[in-house]
Order: sequence, then structure tokens, then C-alpha cells
Amino acid sequence: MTGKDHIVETIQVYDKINHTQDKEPGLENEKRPEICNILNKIIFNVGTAISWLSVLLIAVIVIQVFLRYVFGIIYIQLEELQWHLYAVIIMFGLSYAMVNHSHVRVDIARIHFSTTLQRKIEIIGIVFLMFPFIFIVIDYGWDLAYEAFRVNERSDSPEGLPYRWIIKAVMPVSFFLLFLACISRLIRHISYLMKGNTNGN
Amino acid sequence: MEINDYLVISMFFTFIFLLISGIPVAWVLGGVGVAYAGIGYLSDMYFGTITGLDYNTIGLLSNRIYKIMDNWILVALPMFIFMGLALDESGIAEKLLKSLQRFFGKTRGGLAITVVILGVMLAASTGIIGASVVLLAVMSLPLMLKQGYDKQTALGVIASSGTLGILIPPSIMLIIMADQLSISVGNLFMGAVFPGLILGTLYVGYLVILGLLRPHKMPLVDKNENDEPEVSLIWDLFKNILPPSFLILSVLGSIFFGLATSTEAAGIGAFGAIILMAINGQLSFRKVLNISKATMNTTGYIFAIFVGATCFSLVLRELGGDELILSALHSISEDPIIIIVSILILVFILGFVLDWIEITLIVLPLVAPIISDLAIEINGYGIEEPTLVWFVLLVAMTLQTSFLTPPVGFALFYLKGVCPPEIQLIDIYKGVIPFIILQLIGLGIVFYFPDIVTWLPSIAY
Repeated sequence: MTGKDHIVETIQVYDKINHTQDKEPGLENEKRPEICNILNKIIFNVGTAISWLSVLLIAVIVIQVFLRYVFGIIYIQLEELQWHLYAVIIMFGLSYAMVNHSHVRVDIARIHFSTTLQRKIEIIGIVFLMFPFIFIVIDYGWDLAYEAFRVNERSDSPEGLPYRWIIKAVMPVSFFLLFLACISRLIRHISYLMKGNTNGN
Repeated sequence: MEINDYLVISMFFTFIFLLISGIPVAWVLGGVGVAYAGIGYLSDMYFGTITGLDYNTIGLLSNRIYKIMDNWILVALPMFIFMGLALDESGIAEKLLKSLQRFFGKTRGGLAITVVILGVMLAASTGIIGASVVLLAVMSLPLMLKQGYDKQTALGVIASSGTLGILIPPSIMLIIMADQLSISVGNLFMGAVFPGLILGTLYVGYLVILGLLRPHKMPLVDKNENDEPEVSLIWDLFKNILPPSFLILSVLGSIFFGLATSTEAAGIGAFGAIILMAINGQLSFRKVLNISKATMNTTGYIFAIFVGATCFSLVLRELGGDELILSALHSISEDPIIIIVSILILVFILGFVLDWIEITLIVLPLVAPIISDLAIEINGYGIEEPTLVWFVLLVAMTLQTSFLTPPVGFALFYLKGVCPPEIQLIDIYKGVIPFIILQLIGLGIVFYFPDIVTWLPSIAY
């Protein structure tokens, strides 16, 4: 193997292992309902588009440091833009990691379970753990954003960024995408379990 | 015990139980938090407890999440992840491996020592255990096996060198720890330098001794295919080690000398890594996209746990969990040393099932207040909160050790993922044992000589 082969491999291998952390057996061969594919594709594409913001974030930091050292100018907006970009990346990362099957699980017992049991546990987890949590974050996150919109909240610093409601709205919106990712997975598991039951007919 | 305490304990057990069932950690944390907010509310109504939990209290969650979004320190996290992944893609590590290998080629165990040195360099660049272990394994495992290395030794070296990434700065774990405990990122980074180097030195020392005592485990290449003059070897090594060292030293240096905040240093580091990719002819649209996507993905699962843990600890606190833990720790012993050792043992055991993120986010804030209260006299050289900095690094080293420890070390899991199929998990388990012992020695050294941690931060800035 040449060095070049390794270079191409590393990130893909790392990604692949990350994904298997959250993998159901037979995932590739499984025929999913069309709606799951559509939902996953939407979330995946939104995430891919947003992932470019990390390049933008690098640019903003470099420009800010450059301006400060070379011209001695400090732009509060640039500083605030940094955490705005970061916030968008992390919040939309939640649903992105979900459709990429990257969320960390403890696998000790799980690998010994049957596929059906794994899926049942997953359904319980989504319905009883994730849905209430997501509901609360969207409910209160929406209030937070709406309040910011109503009073036209802006940065505390006079030279800071206006329209604080936009960044606050990222919370309910990104959690709504997470909700869609859950729905997609829920449909997939349920349709699999139902198919499994009707196989004998 | 009061009803509150039972609620806290059952909350922990529910969490562990659901975790073992295989539901993603982040959602267990969030879901259990919400569920126990409901249980606390009902218990207030029917059992006369005063948790004060209701729908409005749990609504504080949105403010807590907003605080995570509005956090200057954590902006460094995606930036360091990006920098690490970009360095991995730049092909610098391969070049460095080749010249290090040629340089140490004639020494017994040279290849293994190369892996340790590379591990330290990569550690400084990534700080993501998974990525470091995978990169080291993909690059060096085939080489080591081909040269006839004992496979357990080879696996042990790779796993342990890969985990150095979590400790040696810039480490994303240290950033999160600093954020949680409101201590300076710079102090933690500087404090981690010597403990990390001590571990690296212990590894190399062990390999040299092993080479002398058990030469068959690390055979030399029979004949040197190309006998290059020493000078060109050294020049080659210098040429390849310079760019990554320059990048890492400038990131750490700008923090060390107080020229930039850790966030700025991270952004500049990511930019520098892109430049290095360009110099190496590895820069392309597709690659940058891949790195961005991998950054988003990694950031996504880390912050999912962040968001879940926020919910969990919010409710835990309302139920009085922090007081329970504090009084439990106080009841163990009056002796500060015993308290610290018991916390470290707890962290070590939790490290079997929990990732560093959960431990940092849930356990560390619970036990930190007690550390500040303990009357431990260590030579702080005038830095802020020297005891806490020292303690955090002990925790970091303990966590790093627990990732190496079977049966569920995270490093081992990643390593197994990239090994050829003929390598059994048991080989990996056996291979890491000597390194776990070295880790414990390193931990002991830092425990008895806190100055190792506190001296460097004191001369910085």
C-alpha cells in the first residue's frame, strides 16, 4: 500500500466506525419505506449544506485576528458571528448525526439481542425518551425565540449583531429536524416489525 | 434517607439500565431527565417532598441549551476537530511515519517507538481518540506485522499511543472540562503538557527495555535495503517534522504567550491545517467537504450528549443529587487524599460504560466543589485554583487509562474496527495490559508531584 491509499482511507474508516456504533444489523439490505428515504435525504442535505459553515467560521476567526493584529480594529460583530455560526453547526449537527447513525451507544448487551428486540427497544426509546424531551425543547425554545422577536432583542453590546430571534429560533427549528429524524426511524422500525409479522401469510 | 435521595438513586439506576439496553446515551440522558421531572412533580404532590419540579422548571432547559449555544469557549471545539481531521487528511502523518521509521530503523523496537512519537504528535493535533487510534492503526499496524512484531505488543502500542490524544493539548476534553468548572483553558492545556510527555516517555522506556529483554517480540529488519547517509536521514526527518510541529507549537504558543484566546488559536490552527494540506498537494473541494461533514458529525454527537446531560443534571440538581453526592463523599473519610482516590476510582469504573463526555458533563461538576473545599496544600506557583487544575488532570489521566482497559475501552473498540479479521479481541486485551500498568505509574507520579502540573501554567502568559 502506498501512502496515498492510507490518506484516502483514514477519514472514511473513522466515519465508518462511527456509523457502526449505531448500526442495526441488515441495515443496508433493508428496504425502507419511501417516506424514510425522503426525510433522511432532507436532513442529510440540510446538514451537508450547514457543514460548510465550519469553513466560514475559520474564515471569520482568521479575519478577526488579522484585523486586530494588523490594523488594531476590533469588530464586535465578527466576534459574535463566531458563536452564531458555531451554534448553528452544533444544533443542526444533532439531526445530522442521527441520520448518519453516529450517536454513541453502549453496545455490551445490545449486540446479543435479536434484531426484533433491538428495534422494539429503539421504538420505546424514541417514543418515551426522545419525544417528551424534544417536545419540551421545541415548546420552550419557541417561546424563547418568539419573546426575542417580540421585543426585538439584540446583542447587549451596542455594536453587536441585531435580530437575536434568528439564532434563538435555531433551537426549535433544529429540534424539529431531529423530530423528523426520529419519525423516519420510527416508521422504519415499525414497518419492519409489521412486515416480520405478516411474513408467514 | 429521605424520599429525595431514593429518587436520586433510582434516577441513576434507571439511567444505567436504559444505557445498557443500547439506546443512544444522549437520548437516555435527556429522556430520563424529563421523566424524573415528572416523577419529582408527582412526588411533591403525593409524598410531600419539596423538589419544586414542574413543567416550568424543566422549561429552564431551553435557557440552558441557549447557554451552550452562546458559549465562546466551546467555539474552539469544532475548530480543533476540524484542524485534527484536516491534519489527518493532509498526508503529513504518513510522511512523518516514513522518515521516523527510517531514522529509527536500526534500533530495536524502532517502529514501535515511532508509533509512540507519532501518537504524541497526532495527539497534539487531534484530541479525538477514535481518529488518532484509527489513523495510527491504519498506517502502522500492517508495517509492524510485516516486520514480524509480536502482534499483542503492536496492538498495545497503537491503542495506548492513540489515547494520548485525549490528554495532550490541544485536547477537546480539556476544553469541555475547563468550561464546566470555569477554570482557564490555557492553564489546563499548559498543565497537561508534562503529564502527557511523562506518559510518552514511559512508553518509550518500556519499549526500549522490552527490546533488550525480549528481542523476538520486536525483530529488526534483516538487511537494510538502502543505506542512506545519516545526514540525509536527519534532514528528511527535520523536513517532515517541521510543518506539523510548527502548527501545533504556534497554536499552543499563542495561548501560552497570551497572544490569542483558545478559540482564536483553534480557528487559526484549522486554517493552518488547510494550508498544510495545500502545501502537500492534498487540498481539494471534495476533501474540504468531507472534513466539514465529519466535523459536523463529530460535533453533532458530542453536543447531543451535551444537550442530554444538561437536562439530566438540571433535574438531578433539583432533586438534591449534588448534596447527596457531596455528603456521601464526605462520609467516606476525612482524609483529602482518600477522597480524591475514591473519586478517581469512581471515574475509572464509570469510564467502562460511559464516554468521557458524560463523565465530564455529569460527574465532574458534581465532585468539583468538594475538591475546592479540601484543604490540600500543593505548590500552585500562584496560578488560580491550583488544586482544581491538578485534580482535573488526574481525572483526565484516569479517564484515558479507563479507555484502554478491557472489556469496554473505547480505544480498543476503535482499534478492533480497523484490525485485519485474524486479530482477536483477546489479543488487543492482552496487548494493552503493560501499558495500563505504565499509565498507573504515570498517574502515581503526577499524584505525588503536583508541581509537574502547576509549574508550566505559572510561567505562561
